[in-house]
Amino acid sequence: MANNSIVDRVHDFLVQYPPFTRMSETQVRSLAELVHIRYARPQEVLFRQGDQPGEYCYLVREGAIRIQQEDTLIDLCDEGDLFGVRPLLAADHYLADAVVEEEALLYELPVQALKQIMEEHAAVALFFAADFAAGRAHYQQAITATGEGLKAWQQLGGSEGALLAPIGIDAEKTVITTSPANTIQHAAQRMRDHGVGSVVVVNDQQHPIGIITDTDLRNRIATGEVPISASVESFMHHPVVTIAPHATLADCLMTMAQYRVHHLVATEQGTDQSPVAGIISDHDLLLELGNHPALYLKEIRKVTTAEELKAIRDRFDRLLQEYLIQQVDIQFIARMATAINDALTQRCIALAEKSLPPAPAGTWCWWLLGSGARSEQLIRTDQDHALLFESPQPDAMRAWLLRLAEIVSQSLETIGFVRDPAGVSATNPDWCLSMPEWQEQFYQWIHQPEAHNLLLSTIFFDYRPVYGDHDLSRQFTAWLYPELDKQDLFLGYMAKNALQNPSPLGFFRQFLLESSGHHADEFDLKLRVMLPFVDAARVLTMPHQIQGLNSTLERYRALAEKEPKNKALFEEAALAFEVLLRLRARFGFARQHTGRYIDIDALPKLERQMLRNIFKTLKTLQQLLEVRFQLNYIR
Amino acid sequence: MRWWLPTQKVPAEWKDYVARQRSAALRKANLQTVPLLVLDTETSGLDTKTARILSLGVVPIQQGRLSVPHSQEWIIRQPFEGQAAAIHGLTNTQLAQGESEEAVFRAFWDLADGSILVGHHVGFDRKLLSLLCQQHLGCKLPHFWLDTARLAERLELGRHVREGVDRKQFSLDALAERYHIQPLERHTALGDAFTTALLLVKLLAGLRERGVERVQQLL
Repeated sequence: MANNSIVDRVHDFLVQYPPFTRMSETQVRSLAELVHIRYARPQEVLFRQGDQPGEYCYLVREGAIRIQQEDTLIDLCDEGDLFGVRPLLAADHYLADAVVEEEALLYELPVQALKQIMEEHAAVALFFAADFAAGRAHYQQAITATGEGLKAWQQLGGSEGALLAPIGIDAEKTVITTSPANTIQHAAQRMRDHGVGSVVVVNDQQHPIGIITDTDLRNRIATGEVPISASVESFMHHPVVTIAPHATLADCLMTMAQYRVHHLVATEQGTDQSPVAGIISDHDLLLELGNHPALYLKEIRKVTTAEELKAIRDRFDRLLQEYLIQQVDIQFIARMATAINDALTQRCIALAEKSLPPAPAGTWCWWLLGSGARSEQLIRTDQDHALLFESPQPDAMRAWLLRLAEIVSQSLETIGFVRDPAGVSATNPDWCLSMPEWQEQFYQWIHQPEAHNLLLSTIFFDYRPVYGDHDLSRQFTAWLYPELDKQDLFLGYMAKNALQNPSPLGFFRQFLLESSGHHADEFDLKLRVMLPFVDAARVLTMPHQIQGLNSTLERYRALAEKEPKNKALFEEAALAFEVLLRLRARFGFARQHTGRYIDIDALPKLERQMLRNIFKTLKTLQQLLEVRFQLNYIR
Repeated sequence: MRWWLPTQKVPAEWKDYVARQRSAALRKANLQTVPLLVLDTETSGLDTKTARILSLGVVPIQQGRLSVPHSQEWIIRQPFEGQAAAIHGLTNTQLAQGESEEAVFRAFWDLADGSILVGHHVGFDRKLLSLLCQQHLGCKLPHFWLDTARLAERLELGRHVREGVDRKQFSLDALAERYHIQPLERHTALGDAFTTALLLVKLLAGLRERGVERVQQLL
């Protein structure tokens, strides 16, 4: 048989890309032996939307292929991308055109052979299902990072175990049912009361006969197409797609992809002739899959220029956006973003370090400050950093570190983090200090709490080591906390500072829009709402000496635990801050800026309502600060 | 085509085969769909009188696609004097494991049925294969041939240029570079056949844009 150098070449190419990375050596070889190689010129059409599926899937060896629907570009496939996988999953026509963009060499892979491998190999099956689901999202909203998220997860090899692990379904909590004779209004009320996005329609034996989802209500009821008094039976989707209650992740994804649905109903027997046991949405699956950004991290470690790092960060933004749309837990999003941002910074510093002569004797540590330090920097905003060092030759060390900082700052700028306009930067000799110098600086802030000092304190009290000698930073913290204890008054001033921006409650529209400058008629979300929450959390946690908790969310959660009588308030504050983070990131992405200013008029009604509630929470929080730190005495 | 005379004696058992390779249907066939068999050889020398084929690599093109499953390379066991290993790159051990010349030729003959044969600077290979055919089957090799060097000249220089073509500009290496083809492994029969096959599909696509659609337009 064709055991030759051509097969070797095809094989060597395949093994670099998923899903082939997940196949066994024998499987890849057997596929490589079956490949046909096709050359195609620009404008050539490989298949059209609506065509019957062919016997081959395509892998791009060289060149680029446009996947388009009507004239909308949906995807651009290049080297290593697989497309036209539709026939693998459904005996269904193609959903888009594939047109050659740049002259291309394509490997045609026989569908039959791939199908066989899919059957043997859950991971491979999942890859295609994920890819397919991504395709669907594309068609619906022209943005899809879901697929990439899944692919990313694939590439770094979410373990086989995770794929095959049964998804736990908690029927009581997650599934709400209704009977077919009820009105739609009744069903919607039930959904609202239980805070769920779908309701399963069941017959007398509790067998599922249909389903109604949020999307249906939006698309067909809210538009007036169907009256809310209509019966559930006349409106529901049926039949429902069912699955066994202990289905694996791979099964769920495959089934959703095959039937093109967003929800699966789990039943006791797995058929629609047995009682409902739960419901699974694609959102649940996404969460289940939403693994680490480890793929991005791996890539970051490999590249050597700021431009490449920027490209990675750009791609990561798309994933973030999709997570925001999918309402994925903001803490999870923040963790991912922090991991990526940290890795980018670390890479920049490591590269800069390599380009310089060796450092003078001593150790040093790179601090992140502000939102970066609090792990709340979802989108690319200012760079805030500083340097702490210890050296027998402080001047030589400082000079060297300032050179380093300049290179790093430049790289970060290329990646898209603008320099801090206030000069809070490791490139600034004021913020590139030795241990004794920092101690002196903080001592001054603590003991002479003036307005200017307080402002700086709020920035510098959130520091987090990200590169270099973390121990140095720990030593500094060990010095700082006892110092704070000695000076009660300082906390009072910090608290007062946190009240500088009164809650906008009551001024909602007319008064608080920024009245001049670039952002006239917009609301400064950061200054008016987010910073007060941040400042309050910081000062409230200080007396508890909770170290290592830097994020505002973590601080409120810790406070809720430490102070049971204010538990509800702190939990509310945490929730409010989550919403704010999400809102800011969304605005930032939508408007291509930092998301700091928002246009109140552009907010959907629901979100305005939500902001109003957030202002109320902030007000209560500020009252608490006032009482606790007896601020009426400090005038 | 003067070398091939229809009146020449063809053994009865190959009459049909020979007729198939010279059929009008094949002549008129569309270049996008006609079966093509791209080949290259490694030989023991450069003189057609003494050189023997040591290996033969083939890459079939079906419906415009290079078929990996049907691509192959035969090593031929020759009574061998141990020369020129530097050129053909085959070791004595490899050659000792080869098949007989006749067996290889017959396998090639079966595979080539119904295809247009294609090579790069094809004259030498064509001569040697034809000799083999005469020797083992008692007739001349009847297939139509295309030469990728000629096709490239035609595409780049136009139809009527015959004189003063710089051969080096149209070597397989030069063309591979010009047409952005990563050579597989140079100087093995299969490697060069593969490079030639990729070159062929690119050239044919270019020629198609100039209105060349049928086999006969290139003969």
